[in-house]
This record gives sequence, C-alpha cells and structure tokens, in this order.
Amino acid sequence: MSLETFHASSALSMGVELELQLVGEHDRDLASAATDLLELAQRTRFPGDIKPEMTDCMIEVATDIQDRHASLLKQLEAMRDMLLAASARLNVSLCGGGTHPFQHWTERRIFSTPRFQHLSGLYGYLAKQFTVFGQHVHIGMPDADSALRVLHALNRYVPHFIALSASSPFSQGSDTLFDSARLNSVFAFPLSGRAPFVLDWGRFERDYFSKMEDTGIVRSMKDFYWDIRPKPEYGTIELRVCDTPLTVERAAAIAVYLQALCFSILAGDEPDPLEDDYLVYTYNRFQACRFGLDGLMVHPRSHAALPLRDDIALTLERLAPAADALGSRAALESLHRMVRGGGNDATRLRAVHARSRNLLAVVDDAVAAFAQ
Amino acid sequence: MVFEAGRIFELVGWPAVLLTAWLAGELAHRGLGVPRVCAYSLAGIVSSALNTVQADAETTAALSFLANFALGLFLFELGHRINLRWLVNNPWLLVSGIAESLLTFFVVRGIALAMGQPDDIAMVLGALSVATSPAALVRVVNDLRCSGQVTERALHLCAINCLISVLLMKGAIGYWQLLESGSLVNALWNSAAILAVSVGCGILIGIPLPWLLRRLRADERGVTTVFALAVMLVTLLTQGVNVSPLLAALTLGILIRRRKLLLTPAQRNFGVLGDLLTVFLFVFVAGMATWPTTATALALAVLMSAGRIAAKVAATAAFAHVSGTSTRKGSLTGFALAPLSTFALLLLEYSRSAGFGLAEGALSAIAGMVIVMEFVGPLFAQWALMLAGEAQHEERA
Repeated sequence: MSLETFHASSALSMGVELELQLVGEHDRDLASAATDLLELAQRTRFPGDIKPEMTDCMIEVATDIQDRHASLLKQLEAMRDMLLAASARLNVSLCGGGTHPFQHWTERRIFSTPRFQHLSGLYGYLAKQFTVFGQHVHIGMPDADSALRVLHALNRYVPHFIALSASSPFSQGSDTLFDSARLNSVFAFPLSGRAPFVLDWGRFERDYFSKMEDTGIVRSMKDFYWDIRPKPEYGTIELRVCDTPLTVERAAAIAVYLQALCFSILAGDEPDPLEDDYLVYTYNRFQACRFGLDGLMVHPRSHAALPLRDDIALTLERLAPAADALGSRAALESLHRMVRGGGNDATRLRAVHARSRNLLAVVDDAVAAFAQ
Repeated sequence: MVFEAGRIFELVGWPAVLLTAWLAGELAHRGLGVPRVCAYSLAGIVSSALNTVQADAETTAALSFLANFALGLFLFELGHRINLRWLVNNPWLLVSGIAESLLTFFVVRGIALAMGQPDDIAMVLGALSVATSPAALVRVVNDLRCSGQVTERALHLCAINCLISVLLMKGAIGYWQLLESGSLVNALWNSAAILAVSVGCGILIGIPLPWLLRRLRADERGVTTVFALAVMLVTLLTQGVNVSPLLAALTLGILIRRRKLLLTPAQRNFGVLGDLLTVFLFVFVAGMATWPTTATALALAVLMSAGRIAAKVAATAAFAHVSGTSTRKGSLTGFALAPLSTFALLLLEYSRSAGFGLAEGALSAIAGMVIVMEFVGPLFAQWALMLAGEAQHEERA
C-alpha cells in the first residue's frame, strides 16, 4: 500500500478525537467496560464517532468536521452527555486526564481486534503501558504542500500544547514530577518523534515514505506516531501531543488555539520553517512535559530562554485578530486566564492530592470535572 | 489439667484440616483451574465424614462466631461494592433482581412441593435458595480479578437476593410463629424488629467510623484493620441481641462506601486475614452439610439445584436488554449467581438456635442441594465470568 493521495479539505476545518478513561465506581481503578459502553452507545444514534482503543478500559470519541468553536463545543458536550447517560446505566464513570493515577499496567487487557492484538504482539509490554489518554486535533489543509509547511512551522508551538493540556502528573501510584507523564509512554515507540524535514509532498512521498515502505517497517501513515503527522486521506494535519484535558471545554479551547495558529501560518504571518528550528525541539518538549507552564523554552531563532507561560500568553495576544475572524475569541481568552491564573489540569490534580493525600480523591475530582 | 490437655488435642485437628484444605485449594486452582473454594468445601465434607474434629458445645459456639465473622467480612466487602445510585440510574436492574429472587423462590418451592415436601418446609427451601453465596462469589471474583458488566451485575444482584432471602426467611419464620402462637402482631413484630435492629447495628458503627478514620488519616493497612475490627464488633453486637450479623455487615459496607472510604485493590479480600478465614469458613460450613441418604433426597437436591439455576438465568436474561446489556451477558450473570451454601446454612443454623422448629427438617432437605451447589456453584460462576471475558488471564512470559 503506497501513500494515499492527499485529499484537500476545507481549510481550517477541525476534528477532535478524545481518548477517555473508564473508571470503576467502587474502587476508582480502570474498569474493563469498553465493549459494554460501545454496545449501549450504539443502540441509539451517537452524536459523533465512538470506537475502542488499545486496552478495554479506554474508548475514543471523535467529532464530525467542524468550522467554529461554538459548533465544536456543542458536539463535544452532546457526546459527553450521551456517554455519561450510558455509563450511568453500566455503573462506570468516565473521565479525562492523560494517565490514570494508580492503575497497574500489568492488569490491562488488550482489546480484542486483530490490529490491537498485532500491535500487542509487536510491542509487548509497551502496548499495555500505552494505556494513556490523549487528545488529537485535526486541522484541514488546502493542499499537501501547505500541510507540510504548516506542520513544520508549528514545531516551535508544540510545547505550548503539551503544557496547556498536561493532565497526567501521576502514574502507577506515584507523582512523576512531570506535568505530562503520558508523553513518556509515547516516546518509547520506535516511530515516535517528529516528521522528517521535507516541505514538498512529492519529495516526501518519493524520498521518505517510499523508502521507509521498502524497508518493510511501515505500511501506512498510521504506523508513524509523530507529534504532528499529515493525514492524507482526511486532508489534514493531526496534532497528537495533547493529554486529554479534564473538561470538554478545555479540549475545544485547545483545538481552536491550533486552528488560530494554522490560520496565522497559512496567512503568511509566521516565518518559514527551517530544519535548524528542530535543534531545540526535544529540549523544549521535555521542559513542557516536565514543568508544564513553568517550563523554560529556548526560542529556535533568537535562542533566548523564556518561560512557556509568557510565550503562550504573548502568542494568544498576537492571535486575537485571527480568533476574531474564526469566532474563537472567548475560548482563547479562557486559555489566557488559565495561563495567567490557576494553571493547567496537572496543577489542579496535584492540589487535590495535596489536600487529600489520596489518589482515589484525584480520580473522583477528574470524574466530577468531566461531568460538569 | 488432664481435661484441658485432652481438649487441646481434640482441637489440633483443625489446623491440620485447614492446611490440607489450603493445599487442596492451590492444587485445584493451579492444576485443574477449579475455584479454590470448591476444594475447601471438599476438605470440609471429607473431614466431617471422617469425624476428624470433635468439638463440644462451647467450642462450636466459638467456631460459629468465627464463621459469622468471616462471612461478615465478605458481606462487608460486597456491601462496599454496592452502588445504590446505580439502582436508581438503572431501575431495570433492581426489577431484574427482584424478579430473579421471586422466580427462584416460586420455582424451588414448586419443585419441593411436587416432590412431596410439606408446605412450610418447601417455603423455607424456596427462601433459602434465593440467596447467592456472597462468600463464594466475592472470592471467585477476587481470585480471577474480574472486572466488567457480568461481575458488577452479579455482585449487585447477589446483595439484592441475599436481602430478599433474609426477608422471605423471616416471613417463613413469622408464618410459622403465626401458626404456633396464633398472633399475627407477634409474627410481624418479630420479622420487622430483627430487620430493623440488624440494620441499626450496622448504622451504629457505620456512621462514626468514617469520621474517626478521616480524623486519624489512617493509611490503607490501618483502614483495613479498622474495617475488620468493625465487622467483628457488629458480629458480636448482633449475635448478642440475637439478630442477623450478616445484614448488619452488609449495611456497614454500604455505609462506608457512601462515605467514600474505599478498600484499595491491594486490600481486597482483607489480605492474609481474609485468606485464612475463607479457608476456615468453607471448611466449617461444608462440614455442617450431610449427604442425601436416599435416591429421592438426591433427586430432590438435583432438581432443586437445576430449577434454581434455570430460574436465575431465565430472569436475568429476560431483563438483560432493558437494563442495558446483551442477552448473552444477562444469561451469564444468571449463571454467576449459582453459588449457594454458606449463607443458607448459617441462616438455618441461626434460626435453629432461635427456636425455629422447622429448621431441623429444612436442614436435612436442603443438605443435598448444598452438597451439589458447593461444587457446581463456584464452577458455574467462574465459567460464566470467564466466558464473559471478564477474568484476568494470567499471561506467562
């Protein structure tokens, strides 16, 4: 199977995928309820897409193609409400968050589909360790070359999305000291990381994808677990670094932040990407994972170090006109308040733990936040 | 002194029997894939048949208390898993629990009547058949580390049918008292008072305990120790005033859960204490059962067992779709409810000590069913949970 043709889509249209945790009512541990929830949700028309994920205590939901913040949020809320109603009938709870605070990966069961069983055979324990929960955002691109240009121009903003969405401070029963411990599970996969620096779709296909395909390592774009990857069949680029936030409101706000950035890049307001931009990429990404909004990032061009918090705030202010044009002003302002005020979801979960000294209370809080 | 030494030697049989039972349990589980509790029961039956352990009345009373305490721990854990709000969110589940219990009652009572049992004994047999053994079910669920709809539903339906079984049993006793004394007020008062005092004992401990634990900021081992002592306390309290220790322990578990004090996965089964008491409970209770001596008694046992399971499966399957699951999982839930024994026997034992004259007759009639279900029940439960895909497979490297 060669690389699919890039189907141009309506520029700046959005689609959001959320991986959600299924949590038991009695012990707050992850619960194997994906099959039952899928069965129940599909009895009536589900307002979006719903499918299983790697292990049977996760489900993934996806919105339709949306252009505006209001309609995106409306659909996310409708999906959430329907899931909450179904899960209440099954005695399970649902929540966001990039990791479950105290589940043991050895107890996870791989969802029984041929693809997941194949991945489990290939990756061994990594597959079960991959019981982590992310938000993926698709943004529609007018053509394939623009997709690659936007993908690489976004490199310096990747830490923003990690810090804004970070909601996985706890893993396997301990505070990891990371704001996003989830991404450490993702980095273990051999085809994770960043896309090769190619800005021309023809060259990408000829000089990179075909050669990789010849090695037998990959068969489709699906086999790459890059932070941002092109999705030719949808005509989108897909950002994959975000933890699933605790609320759908924040998930929608993060999606429209990406939309506004893409708007600005497509409009030519950002400098063209250079391969040397990636010199600071993994360091900045680590800072965002480890310290969240308090991380220090090195600017790829000026090499000045500045707090992520400030860089995000400045970017949000700069994007105000784009947000006005896209109808997402209020959502971006909510991110601005978060950056300047209380902090991300990881900060919130740590505060709950500091008060209660109890990881069950952390899950309780995540469950309550999701249902708000 | 000579008497004391003799008495000690009489009791030496116990640890030996328990150790043998434990070894048999491990062999059964690892070698044959059979639930451990089946082997414990087998050890109890064999040891009772061989008359390995003799005990005087005083020792029997002490052992009875220990068995009630052990069962109390299981009921506490069951209560702790019960989410009352689920029954409100999904009323069809409650309906299916009530239907399942009543159908079981009428089917078993019908079979007993058809087999020539007197009406009052048939009623007691029906009432006792309603209950699923919380000990066997909780133990199988924990041993296989089950998680899923069949597990959740079986545990909730188990709590419902235990409660209904107690009510039906009290009804039967009340009915008997009505016949004996002719006083309806006396009969009703007796049933209602026992129910209220049992639940009251659970509440008495269940309200202040969470407050105390929060004040102490106890860690998970501390919490588990306090829970075990609380169960011991309600067992003593309820036995002292001659009401149901099991209802009290169930109430305590439900209350603790509502206060959001949770047993962590590491403390399931009450750790080593739970393991030890499980072996004892199953050996002790199985020792109380006796083999059916006639072909008719054996036929009665087999027919009542079959009818009981058929009734449970039919009811849970019928209400599966409306309560939000597939008919297949509904049927499997019914099979998971198969275990019977401990609850029924202790209930009868308790009733006998409370002066319930029918207990003797019922005990001999139900003994056969207990023997059959001691082995078949946990096996069915395990089989149902595995077929539902809810058991953890132990993957070997």
